[in-house]
Amino acid sequence: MASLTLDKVRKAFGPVEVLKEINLAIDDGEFLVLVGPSGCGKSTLLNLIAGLESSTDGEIRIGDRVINDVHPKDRNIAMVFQSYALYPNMTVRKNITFGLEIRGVSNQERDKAVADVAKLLQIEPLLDRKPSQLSGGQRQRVAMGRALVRDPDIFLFDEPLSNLDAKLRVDMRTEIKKLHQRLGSTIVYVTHDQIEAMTLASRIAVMKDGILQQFDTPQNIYERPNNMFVAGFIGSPSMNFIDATLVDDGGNLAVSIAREGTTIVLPLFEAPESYKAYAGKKVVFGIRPEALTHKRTGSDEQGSQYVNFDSKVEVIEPTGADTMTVIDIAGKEIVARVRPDRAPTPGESMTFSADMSQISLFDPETELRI
Amino acid sequence: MGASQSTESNLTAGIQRHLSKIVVAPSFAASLFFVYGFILWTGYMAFSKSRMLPVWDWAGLRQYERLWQMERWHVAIENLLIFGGLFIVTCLVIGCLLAVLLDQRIRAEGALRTIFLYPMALSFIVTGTVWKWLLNPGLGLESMMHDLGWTSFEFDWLVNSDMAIYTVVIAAVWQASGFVMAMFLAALRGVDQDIIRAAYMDGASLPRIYFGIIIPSIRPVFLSAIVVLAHLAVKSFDLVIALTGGGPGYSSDLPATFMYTMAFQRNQLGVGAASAMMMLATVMAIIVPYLYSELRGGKKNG
Amino acid sequence: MADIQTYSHDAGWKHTVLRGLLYLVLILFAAYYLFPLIVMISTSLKSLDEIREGSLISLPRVVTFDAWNYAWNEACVGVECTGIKIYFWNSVKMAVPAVLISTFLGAINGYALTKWRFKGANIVFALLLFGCFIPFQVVLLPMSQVLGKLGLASSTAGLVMVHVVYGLCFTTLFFRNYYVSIPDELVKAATIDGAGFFTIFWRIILPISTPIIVVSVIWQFTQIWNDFLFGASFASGANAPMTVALNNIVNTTTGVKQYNVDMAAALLTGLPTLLVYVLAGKYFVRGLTAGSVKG
Ligand SMILES: Nc1ncnc2c1ncn2[C@@H]1O[C@H](COP(=O)(O)OP(=O)(O)OP(=O)(O)O)[C@@H](O)[C@H]1O
Ligand SMILES: [Mg+2]
Repeated sequence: MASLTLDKVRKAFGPVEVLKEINLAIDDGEFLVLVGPSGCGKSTLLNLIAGLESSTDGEIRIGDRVINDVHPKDRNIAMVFQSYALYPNMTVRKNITFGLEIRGVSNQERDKAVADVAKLLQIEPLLDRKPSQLSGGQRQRVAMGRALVRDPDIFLFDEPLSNLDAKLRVDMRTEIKKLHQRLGSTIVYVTHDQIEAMTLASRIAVMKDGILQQFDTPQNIYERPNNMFVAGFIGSPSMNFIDATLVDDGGNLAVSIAREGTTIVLPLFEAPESYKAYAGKKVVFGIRPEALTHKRTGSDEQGSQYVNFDSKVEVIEPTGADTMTVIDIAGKEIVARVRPDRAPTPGESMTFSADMSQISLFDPETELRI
Repeated sequence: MGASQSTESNLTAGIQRHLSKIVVAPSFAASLFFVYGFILWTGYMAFSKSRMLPVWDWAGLRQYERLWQMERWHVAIENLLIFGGLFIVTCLVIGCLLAVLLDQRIRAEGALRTIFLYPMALSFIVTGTVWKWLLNPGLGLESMMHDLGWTSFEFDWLVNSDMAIYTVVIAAVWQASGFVMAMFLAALRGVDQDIIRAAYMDGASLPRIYFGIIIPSIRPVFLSAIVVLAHLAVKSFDLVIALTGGGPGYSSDLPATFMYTMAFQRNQLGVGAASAMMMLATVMAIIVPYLYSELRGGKKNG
Repeated sequence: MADIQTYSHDAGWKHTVLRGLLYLVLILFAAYYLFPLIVMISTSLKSLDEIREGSLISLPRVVTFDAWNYAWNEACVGVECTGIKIYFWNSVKMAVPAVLISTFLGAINGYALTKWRFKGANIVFALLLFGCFIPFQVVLLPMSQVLGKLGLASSTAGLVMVHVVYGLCFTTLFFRNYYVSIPDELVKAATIDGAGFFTIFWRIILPISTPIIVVSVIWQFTQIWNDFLFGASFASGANAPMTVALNNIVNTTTGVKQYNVDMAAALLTGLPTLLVYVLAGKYFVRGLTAGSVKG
């Protein structure tokens, strides 16, 4: 077990800079999830930590030890790959013990270690099979077994679940979470699935184009995204963005949205200080679908502050638990989340409520949170 | 843990990184010496006064001039054009035909494929020996036809200096056409079945489907096949030696046999080297653009 | 194409006739390809008298293995009348080490060039690849000089070296293309497990290379066994490989022409590669297409 620190880490492949000044620090036992769109440098960052690539600049530390120049095998890390990378010519048992054998661990200890891990992951009946005789989920377990058996300081996972079908992915996600809670190990986990990120992480690092966008707890990232990219990336369906103006509505700040002929004015009840500078200026109004729902009144026990407005319904998309309702505001498709029993029919007009306690405002130029 | 281990592993890491180069180095060195070095050596010999033994005296273009003044070289070039042209076209036609026929859900496909392709496993010397026997004017096909009652049948190409080169074509086609079949068949099997089904649903006839859709879509294989066959043709040596020995006289010489004769039998090292360089230039003119497009195409796809 | 027939509506006589025609054409072609082989076998089993009297296609009336025996034990190659057997062993002694060495080098080159890429690895590969395509006439003269200097002229060892050197590019090509499709993650995982360059090669990469090893061995064996140019140029006399000896037997002009012996010797020469082809045809074809198409 150990903490992990990345200090101004940069990585370039020739002239192409794929990681730009990454600063991250996690404590012992934390579960760090790296998310971001494809090609943003997640795997590269993981490979740097593993020592499979060397960084162009900056310092990587495990505990107090600088490991930039330490060979992967001496870093005491273990890695689970997206393709599992099981050795096809070896049995499951051999796969799991290969690393121990290379390190010269005695036969007896190896047998014991395999038995423990196999029990933990419930793969005892599979030990003498070849990887080609396993299902996707079983391979996934073996890959984890190979990492677990080494009892490393840090586990690295590179999209370990993306080759599984949807159902299995959810099951394995839960198991990984349980495993983490049980072993209390330090984990760095790469995914581009934001739900995985939200459910697993103790802290999330959102990346884009090699730049760290935000590094925070899942809750903060969800509620207070640093910029429009993070806001749009995390959450499904993603946050609605509406062009608006911040106006002074009788001493109270309000969001004003221009709409064929009329304007919708949504008052902000407890506007933070930072909004003041934007009074009278254009802003991007961001609201998550679940904060936009069928008509409610006043404020409820959670401190929500509802403001009502009418709109015509374009399309409805039932998902079972909720019905996603698409409305058109100023030429933009906006998604609201409505209880199925309140679901309208397309073409109908209905009253929606916006929960103004859960909104975000962004600067249209810099796209940063106001 | 600590500094000492890190420097030690640094060292092993360094060696590990270099191991890759160290391992490739012998092969690379061999290639530099035995391929590039030798080409330079031969290239230089073609500019030297060498006859029986290699000498380093510069002779400019003299050897090339002598080469191009030799009647025999012109025969060899002409033969290469005849042989190469006929060989490539016939192999393509037969190979393509057989591939399309085999692609019709044939019962004994495996067995037939094996039969069509086995000559490719034989040495050209073996092929030459058999065909020499088959085409033998006294006892071969000719006498067989006579026995069958076709008494006017004459087939003396093997000993006819105007026709000898065509016997080489016959034997070479027998040997290599099955290979072209295999290439085409693999390509046909790779064509997207859904496109064919869609065309069939649209009411296209089988020949229309082949000529309109399938054959155009495997055009790259034609190119590959042509390049491979052309390459084979330029290098052809064994077959001529075994079948006709370049004869009668030198009427069925190819550049490859010409070079060999000059270099090893006629003590004309310089001329031999010059002819070898001409062969190299020909092959390069075919291969380099092809490889270039292949490798670039590969990059685009991958 | 296989599915088209399922949709075929115009069953009936037209269809039957077409199918019949199809099979007829294919069978005629099969006869064309088989004809020389059958003639070769039947001629080798006849006596000389029968050959002179009978026809090419007539089967032997009396089957005799005399020609085979003679070809193997007594046939004259040049002035030596020891049969083709010593040249058969020459070919074996040349082919086996050359095949093994070139395949091994190809494997380790392919591994190094794909899994431990260094700067310029692509250029090194392209330069190596070029060797596959040169007409060998361009290296004959310098090679005979170098072999002479090394004291390897007219020796089997010399031929082994020549075949290794010029076979390398093919084997490297085979293995490189195969290893490119093996995920790098396998090597990464093994690196983290603590294995180094050679451990990974021996323990992980080589055990999963069986198909391409078979392709490479078959390709190299066929090429080397069937080679005539290098054999004729660099190994005369008692060290000549079998193809050279065969050509010698067939083309000697002295004495009575023994066609049955020629055919027996030709069959003996062709047998090893034919055997390989029959036993492992799939890999043979793969080698052909890999070696000639994909750069
Ligand atoms: N060896 C390399 N040489 C050059 N560029 C590379 C190399 N490896 C990765 N890159 C580039 O670096 C960028 C980041 O790649 P990386 O694999 O880290 O992305 P990722 O975030 O893991 O994406 P994905 O979600 O698709 O796995 C990509 O643009 C990629 O093209
Ligand atoms: Mg990745």
